[in-house]
Amino acid sequence: MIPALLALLFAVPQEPVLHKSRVVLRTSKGDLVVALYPEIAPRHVEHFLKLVREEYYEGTRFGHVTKGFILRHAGYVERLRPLTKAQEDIGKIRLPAEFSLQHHVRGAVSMMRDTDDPDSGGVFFAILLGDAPQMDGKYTIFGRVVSGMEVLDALEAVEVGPGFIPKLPLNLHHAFIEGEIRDLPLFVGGAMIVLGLSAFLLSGRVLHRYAGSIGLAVVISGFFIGFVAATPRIVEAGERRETLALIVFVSLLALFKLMNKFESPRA
Amino acid sequence: MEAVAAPPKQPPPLYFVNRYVDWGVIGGVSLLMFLVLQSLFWTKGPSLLVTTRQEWAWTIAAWLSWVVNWPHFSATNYRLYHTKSNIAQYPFTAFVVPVLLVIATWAAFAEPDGVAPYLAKLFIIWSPYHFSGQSVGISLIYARRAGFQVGKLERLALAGFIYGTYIMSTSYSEVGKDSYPYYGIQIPRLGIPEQFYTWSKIGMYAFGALLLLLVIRWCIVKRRILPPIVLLPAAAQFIWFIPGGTIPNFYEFVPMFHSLQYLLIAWSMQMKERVDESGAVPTGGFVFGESARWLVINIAGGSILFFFLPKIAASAGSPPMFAEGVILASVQIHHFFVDGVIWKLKNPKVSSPLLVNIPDLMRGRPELARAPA
Repeated sequence: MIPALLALLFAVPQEPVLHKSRVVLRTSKGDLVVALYPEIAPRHVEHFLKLVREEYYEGTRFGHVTKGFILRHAGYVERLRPLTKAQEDIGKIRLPAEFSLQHHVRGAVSMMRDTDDPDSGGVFFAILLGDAPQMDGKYTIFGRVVSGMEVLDALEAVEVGPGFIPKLPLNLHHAFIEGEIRDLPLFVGGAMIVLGLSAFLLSGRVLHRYAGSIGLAVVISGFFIGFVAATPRIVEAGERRETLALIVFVSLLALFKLMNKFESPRA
Repeated sequence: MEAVAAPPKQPPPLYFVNRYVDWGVIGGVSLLMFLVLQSLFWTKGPSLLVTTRQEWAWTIAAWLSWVVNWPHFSATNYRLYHTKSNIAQYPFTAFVVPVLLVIATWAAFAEPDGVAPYLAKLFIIWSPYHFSGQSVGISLIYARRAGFQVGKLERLALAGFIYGTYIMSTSYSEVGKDSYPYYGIQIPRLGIPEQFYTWSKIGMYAFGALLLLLVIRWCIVKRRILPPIVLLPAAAQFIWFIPGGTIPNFYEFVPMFHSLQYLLIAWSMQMKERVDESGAVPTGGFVFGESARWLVINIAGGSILFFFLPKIAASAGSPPMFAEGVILASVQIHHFFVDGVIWKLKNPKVSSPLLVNIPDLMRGRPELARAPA
């Protein structure tokens, strides 16, 4: 009994169990990888993963940078893409606080909330840039940065104006779950385009002439899958957007031209 | 078929009907409307050239849809599906394309935010491309009727100019980083570089200048004036997309102008084919009767596609406006597919009947009525 009490008394805080999924925050300074604490903040973790999967954070910004203290995500500034109905719905959810013994130290990810309502966290989070014991037990820590501390340094180093607002926008281009096959539609679409074009080009020579029409049906199906998957990402692609958009636009013109060859009259 | 003595070769007639009908339908009405709106602007102020479409334009265009726009889509389907032999000629277009579009439509209803905007965007960008293809095709038909030899260079200049109007206007609408509404669906702009728009503008005018030079050269060499109707489709398209594209009250009618063109061509084709199929004596009564039958079928078909189908889709629980937008996009993409394959001018079965003249048919000129297509 006594040894057990002694052990509890002198216990060193343990690293909480980490969620198997890692969230990647692709910022204008690079990628931050966040691990989540499902045992100490289960509802926050579940909700944050939902927000990420719904692409709520796509094309948003970090609104405040206070050196040595905090980097705050801001949802109230203009989004690059309007919220969808599903995003609006999930964005309205408010979570009951899940305070823990975890400390607000550099790299901790904590949910922001209304000053006078501990149960008002939902969407906007902060990443600690230094120790902030005044926040302990008052804000829900639901994860920590496990990779990309140099990116955090770069984010912290930006020039800020009045109100700690960055002078140049600090974009959060994408937030996605590492390892989830987010790119699958793009790969599938691309593969279908390549296969379909090959069938079209070889039809009448190596393949039966019907292969041309089948090939072009596969091409437009693949293109549409890729178009659906790629366009939202292009819209949020930041500096590369114009180039990617031009590639898609020219590809569309080529697709329309190609579809005029969809089928020749059978004899 | 019994061999008959070949009739003396005559140049094909210049018009499908006559100069007034052809000029009006192929582009004259649209040019006139544009001029009227412009002159009203100069005389009565800018009230008719506002930045958003006004109710009068929307209302008139909506009513005209029933008798012009929608039947034009139906006419494509009628042409493809009304005989087994047509279907047999294009089995993939007839069966595979509808299946793909049903899947895409289902996905759009299932994912109103994830898929529907991109189905609509595909339609929105494809539509003016389709208009351009028709403008090029009609120009080539009139060029052939007028005896204007269209070589590679002439074709390049013509297509370059017409598609240039499309690329310029479409690229303009894809510059920017916001979104725009379409039947309640927010469509994101791609955000292409503005320089692309500038270069497409330069390209369009360069091809236009080249086309004019080639026409002038032809006139000098042939010592005759090229019938202006050869250039009317290109001029009309320029007005539709470039100056007209900035006037919502005018632009509202552009699909109707395109549909009018289409209906003239499809109707002429239908008349010629019916005469050939039936072996009937092509009297005025036959043409009127067949025209009425064809029109009624296509008005009914158009109503099914654009009025009843969206209502059926909406009855499954989607907002009516959303359902209308998605169905409209799908039906039109189907139309683009079908038109792209069934109107190949290189196919003599298509190009030959397109040299018909309806009054000739009504007068019963045997060489036109019974000539093998």
